[in-house]
Amino acid sequence: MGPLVPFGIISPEFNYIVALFIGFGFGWVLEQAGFSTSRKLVGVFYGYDYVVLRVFFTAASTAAIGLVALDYLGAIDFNYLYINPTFLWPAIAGGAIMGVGFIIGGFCPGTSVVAAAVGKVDAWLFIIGSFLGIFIYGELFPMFKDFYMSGNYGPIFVYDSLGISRGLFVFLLTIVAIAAFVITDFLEKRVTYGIVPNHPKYGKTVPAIAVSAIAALIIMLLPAQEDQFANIKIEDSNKVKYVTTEQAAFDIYNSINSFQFIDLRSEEEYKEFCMTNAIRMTLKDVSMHKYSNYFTNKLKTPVLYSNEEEIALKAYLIAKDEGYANVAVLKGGINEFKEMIENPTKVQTAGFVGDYTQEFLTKFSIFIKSDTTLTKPRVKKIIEVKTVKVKGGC
Amino acid sequence: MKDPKKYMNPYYAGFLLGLVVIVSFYLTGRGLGASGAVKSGVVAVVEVVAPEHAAESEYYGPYLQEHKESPLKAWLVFLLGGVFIGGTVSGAYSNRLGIKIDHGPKIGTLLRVFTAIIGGILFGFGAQLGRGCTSGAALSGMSVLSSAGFVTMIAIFGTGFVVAYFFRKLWI
Repeated sequence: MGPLVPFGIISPEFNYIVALFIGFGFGWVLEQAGFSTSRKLVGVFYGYDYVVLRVFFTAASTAAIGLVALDYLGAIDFNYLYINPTFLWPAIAGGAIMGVGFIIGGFCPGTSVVAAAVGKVDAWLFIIGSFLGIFIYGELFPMFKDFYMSGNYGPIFVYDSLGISRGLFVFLLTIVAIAAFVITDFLEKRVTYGIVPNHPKYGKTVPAIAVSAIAALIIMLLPAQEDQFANIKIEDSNKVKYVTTEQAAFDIYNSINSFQFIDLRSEEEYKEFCMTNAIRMTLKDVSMHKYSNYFTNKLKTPVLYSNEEEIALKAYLIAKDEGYANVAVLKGGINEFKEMIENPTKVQTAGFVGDYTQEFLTKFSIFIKSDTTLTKPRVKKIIEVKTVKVKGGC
Repeated sequence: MKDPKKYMNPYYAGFLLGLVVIVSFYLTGRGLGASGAVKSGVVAVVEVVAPEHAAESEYYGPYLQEHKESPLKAWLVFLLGGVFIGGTVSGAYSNRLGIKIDHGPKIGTLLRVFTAIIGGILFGFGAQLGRGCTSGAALSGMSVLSSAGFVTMIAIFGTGFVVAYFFRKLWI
């Protein structure tokens, strides 16, 4: 599951090499699109070249749809992506200054590097100017510091700010993009060809956009992720690894601690009566990377349980899907455990501790009733996997 | 000198660029960016020229604290290095390499020199205030659907459209 660097799958050192390759792709595409020429870049503001609008809008839509799709498929965890925080006032002010800089300079930092790479002198001058601009900012920074930190809303999402769902926003974004493409196509045919007769024609708006629109529509209409777990069913219960309530009792009584009980019920049920030292998780939590240490601990087998077996089995399937090999389900659920405590002479697994099963279970029943903390939540905090802090931005 | 190849279809280029952004987020958790790398360069120079000033400054100081090895050992610097190489290779492949200075038909080279530098100064300054440029704040921000991304993009392009008229002599 991505992102790979924060999850330690790609090392921080190798990350720099990755940056180099990603940059190569970035530079290649920009140059191929014609972003190495200042005249093409400002064309959108004067209506003689819409390349910036077409590339930018398509790129943003594609990336947004792609990332949402990856999130839905569980291939990427948005909690570990860098979401640039909204500092409203400096964003507007900075954006406005950049807008003027764009018109006068004819570049933005990324495109200036691409243009410089092919030999454009105005790009080199722009880069020198950028150095100066940043230097001036740096020297005057104490003057702006308060303003720079104003309007801090944190890493908020645009769909939340607008009060609509994510899927709906992505869909609307795609529609707006297509509308922009159609309008500029029209303007180009009517207006631009007059100004620039040899302007390359792009025919129809590309099918790729239509595909994206359909994808956006599908994403928007997909069921919310909670429902994903509704249809998980165990195919073959013989393949499930079980831990019996007697095994659990033996482990608890002798403080072997080879099991980590994971409660999949509600908070209230968990607080009322739970397995010894159990932690509580939702089905979604089982699939999340941040709790993976409980499932990859070779010394402590995670034992999933619910009241009966149904929900625990779902969790079991999710865990198996995540690739965790060492997972088990409490046979009969916690209800069976409670039953065993109340009626220790009704043996579930014959001959577990040999002939002493009934004797042992009777002793266990007394033991566990003697100390109520054994069946109340004791674990203070669920330990989350440490991840590399996601650095980002500009 | 061979004729330059045609430019790539912009929708296709946008699609590929979108894929690059997705790959960047999937592999590293962060999107593209550019202005930050220039900042790294500035910090590096200031550190060499005036180390005490750099260390004490509210602006350069924190950056130096975070990049103890070298101000230039930063993700965006490597990214931009790649951009430069990618741009050069693409330019070579498309026969678009050449020392040139682009400008509108109604102005001369000297004025272009000034406008390029001034534009750069404004953009560098604005990018620091706005926490990113069109690649970092706008494109990457929009890709993860952040409010900041859309606000910055609208501010940049909105302002561009408003002031374009006043500078039209530079380009058309």
